[in-house]
Amino acid sequence: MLLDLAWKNIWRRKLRSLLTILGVASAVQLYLMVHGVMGTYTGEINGQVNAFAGRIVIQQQVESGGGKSDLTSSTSSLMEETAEALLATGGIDRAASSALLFVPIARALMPYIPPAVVAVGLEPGHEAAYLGGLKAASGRLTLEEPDEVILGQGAAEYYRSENNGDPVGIRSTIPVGGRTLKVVGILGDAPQLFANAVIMPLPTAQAIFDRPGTVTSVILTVQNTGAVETVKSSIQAGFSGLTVSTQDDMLRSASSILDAMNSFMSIIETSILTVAVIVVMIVVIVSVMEARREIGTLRAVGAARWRIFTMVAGQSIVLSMMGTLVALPIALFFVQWGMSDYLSSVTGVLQVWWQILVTAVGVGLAASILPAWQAVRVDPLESLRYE
Amino acid sequence: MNMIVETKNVTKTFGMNGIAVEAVRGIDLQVREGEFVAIVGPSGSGKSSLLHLIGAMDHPTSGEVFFRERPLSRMNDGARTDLRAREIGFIFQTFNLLPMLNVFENVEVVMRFGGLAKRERIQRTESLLKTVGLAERMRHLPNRLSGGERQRVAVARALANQPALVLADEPTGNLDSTTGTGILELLREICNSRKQTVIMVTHDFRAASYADRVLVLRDGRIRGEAGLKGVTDTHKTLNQLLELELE
Repeated sequence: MLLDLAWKNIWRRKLRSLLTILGVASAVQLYLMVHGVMGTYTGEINGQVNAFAGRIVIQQQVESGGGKSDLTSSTSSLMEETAEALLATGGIDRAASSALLFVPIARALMPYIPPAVVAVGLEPGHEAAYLGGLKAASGRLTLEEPDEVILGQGAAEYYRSENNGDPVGIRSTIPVGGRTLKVVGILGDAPQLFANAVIMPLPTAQAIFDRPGTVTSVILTVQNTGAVETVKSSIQAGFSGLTVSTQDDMLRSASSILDAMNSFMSIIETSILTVAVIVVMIVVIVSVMEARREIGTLRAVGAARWRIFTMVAGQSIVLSMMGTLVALPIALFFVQWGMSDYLSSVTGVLQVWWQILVTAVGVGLAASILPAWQAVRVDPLESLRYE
Repeated sequence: MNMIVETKNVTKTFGMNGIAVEAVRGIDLQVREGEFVAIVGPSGSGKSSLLHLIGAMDHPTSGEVFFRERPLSRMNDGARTDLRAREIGFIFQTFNLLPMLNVFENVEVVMRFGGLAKRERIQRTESLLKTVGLAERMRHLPNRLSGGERQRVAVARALANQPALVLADEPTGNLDSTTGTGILELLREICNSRKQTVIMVTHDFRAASYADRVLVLRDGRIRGEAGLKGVTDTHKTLNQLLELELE
């Protein structure tokens, strides 16, 4: 192997190598950002859908996007009488079913993901309709008084800034729409739909947000999960103008959204990586052109073609790896400090560490094919052409 | 003594601007193991082309080159590369050291091609650099060395894999006469003490006088040959060859 020669070639042209590394770093950090954000986004949507296993969500049918699983849609509006009739449907677990009122407090970064902070009004005693099997990090997950509130961890963080930077916990009070509510529970780890929720009694939410007599959706928990489709059919037969979504519907809807976004993002990612490959390739090609005499000398004194190949490929991979190493903290910095308000974690980037490694080596290898091919074709006599 | 290099009716034709130029024309040559042969001739006489054919760096247009009775034309690129790595050492007129490697590394790197273990590479490199008088300059880059020192590094590199054959292409061409003499004495010493074969291409008859045998090449053909081994008046013999060349 001639990897030490590859390293010395990089070191010999310090400025050029540094600029190449920065070019690769820019491309790779952009790739990581897109990849990480998409990973977080996908995980979030899947988390939401999974949270609604065995449940049916009913909203008002709207002209566009009526079939989409925007679970926290605040544009949907159902009369309370309609909600009560829906809750009287046969075959449902009434204790784990409820009418809900969703009202965004802070908007989301992207469509089809929950608002950064959302108020959720639900019927006291029917908290399980929304919270399912989620556990409390502290306090309780039941609402007993009109001015009580349960916070997701993201929402608690949001209200920390409203609380002079002091952590918001049990017995803290938070201002919502001019009213002061007392925190009685903080949710444990949960998908963003729940983590960003400010959960309060339905009448309180209706009063605060001036939505008397209306709700945005109804969640029904079916007693026998095998009967979900039957219950859905009976609701559709009995009520018109409603969107009735089971977990399967939500999954289909989420998949179609994710497929479209993934296709678009894949084009962006491929373009970014192609730029990185071209940057490295140009530099390595120039390097090979400059070193034709040295390569010829190496061939003349017995270096096999594969050794020349490894030298050139090594140079390319080292440049690519170094660019990636520089890119990693930059990407993490941007995700951590630039987008933490909207995306709850940096795990999207961290979870793809092995992909990052493979990507770096892949970029390096792809960039080395043409220059390495040129290098292995250098004739030993090339070493003498300059005499 | 066994034959190390043999050429049979070797020709080499280059195409230059659409015109075929015959650099080597039907050369028959035999070189024995341990011999020091000088090939002299004016510029363009085909001596370097012949050296490249012998060194498995180029293919003849016709004829055959044998290395220890093995025809080079039957060898694929890998085998020819291996031959150059293990059995042939090259000394170039312009030294051809790798500029990013220091003296030690320039010598050591070719031993990797010869398949030597690291410890042996280190020991042998140090020993060779001591032999050529550069033990104190091992960590210097080539651009910090004089021409003579660079050529001594090149000699050490050529000997690194203990090749049976050392090919030297105008090894003193870029050196002053005192430094050139030092290099020629080193090549003579290689032949005497290590029993390695040296084929040297030069246009300098004074340099050729260090060889056992001198061949005069002109227009791609061997025009004269003289053995210098045991000859007391090498000056007279070389003058006769020079006259032959001027004919």
